[in-house]
Amino acid sequence: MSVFQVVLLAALVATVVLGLVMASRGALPKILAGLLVGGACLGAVFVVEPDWTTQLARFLGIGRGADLVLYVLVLGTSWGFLSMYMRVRAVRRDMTLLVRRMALDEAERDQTPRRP
Amino acid sequence: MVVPVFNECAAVGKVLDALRSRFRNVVAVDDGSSDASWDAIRKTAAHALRHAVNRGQGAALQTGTDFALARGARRIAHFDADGQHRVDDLVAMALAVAKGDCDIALGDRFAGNSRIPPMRAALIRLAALMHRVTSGIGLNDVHNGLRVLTDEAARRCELRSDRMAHASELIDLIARSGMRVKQFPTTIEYTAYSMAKGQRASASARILLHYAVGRVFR
Repeated sequence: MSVFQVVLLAALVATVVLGLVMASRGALPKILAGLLVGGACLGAVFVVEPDWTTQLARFLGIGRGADLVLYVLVLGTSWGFLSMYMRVRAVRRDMTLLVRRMALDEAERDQTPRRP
Repeated sequence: MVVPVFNECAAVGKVLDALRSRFRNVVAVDDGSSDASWDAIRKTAAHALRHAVNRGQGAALQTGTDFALARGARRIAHFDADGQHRVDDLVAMALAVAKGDCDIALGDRFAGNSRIPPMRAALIRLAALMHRVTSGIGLNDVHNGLRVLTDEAARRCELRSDRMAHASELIDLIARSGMRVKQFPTTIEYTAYSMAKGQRASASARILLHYAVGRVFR
């Protein structure tokens, strides 16, 4: 096993442990934890047996294993960015409504004593 | 009159006083300014509202509108805080809406005596063309900060675009609601101050992006 494989494997094992610990504490939704742990385990398998990605890629009609990994990565990160963006949008919306509520409440407080 | 204010401490006091001399109810919304705008607003006779955090012009307008509607306002006007609009133009528009000539009055800087910088004029024409295509509504000046709406129109046109894309969003809402729109000649004072504070041409790309995203995910 090469040095590279050892380092990657260690990182993936750490990811699995992290995912399990966070899920058990309820810090991570079950579905996300499952995806994380599953993805890390799959990654570990491919780190140990790099040829398997090539075989899988051939089976899917993609030439090389590295290409398959790249495509999956691009799709995954795009999805991640989009869902993150949607969440930020929702948070911004909530924040605006909150700031508006605060402004209106503050104005109400300011005016009541002056103009009963 | 709803006046959104963001870092306008130099101009806002005068603008609010000028408005107060002609209109009874002026609402100034300080959009989380980091300068002395809030103190400047408090010195005037306008209703003072404050956003704890900067949320953008669209958000400030909607806050002021909510405040005014809750107090039984019959008409809502938008007026920029930097002194680029003329109060006389607003009076003419408000009278027309009060008489029932239209539900929504929009300012049209091309019909007034504005000396519009050519780059600005070209961008606004382009935006107007885009709205003609996407919403089928034929307006000259789609990003003018001077507007008057009836309370009914203001209720139907709730702005969800917090930042500058609200002007485009409003055009869509108007087109969909089928309310009667009229454009009024307005003169915009392009002073060195208002140009420095106002939107740069490069901002139009960002506004377009916000608008497009807002249309896709409402």
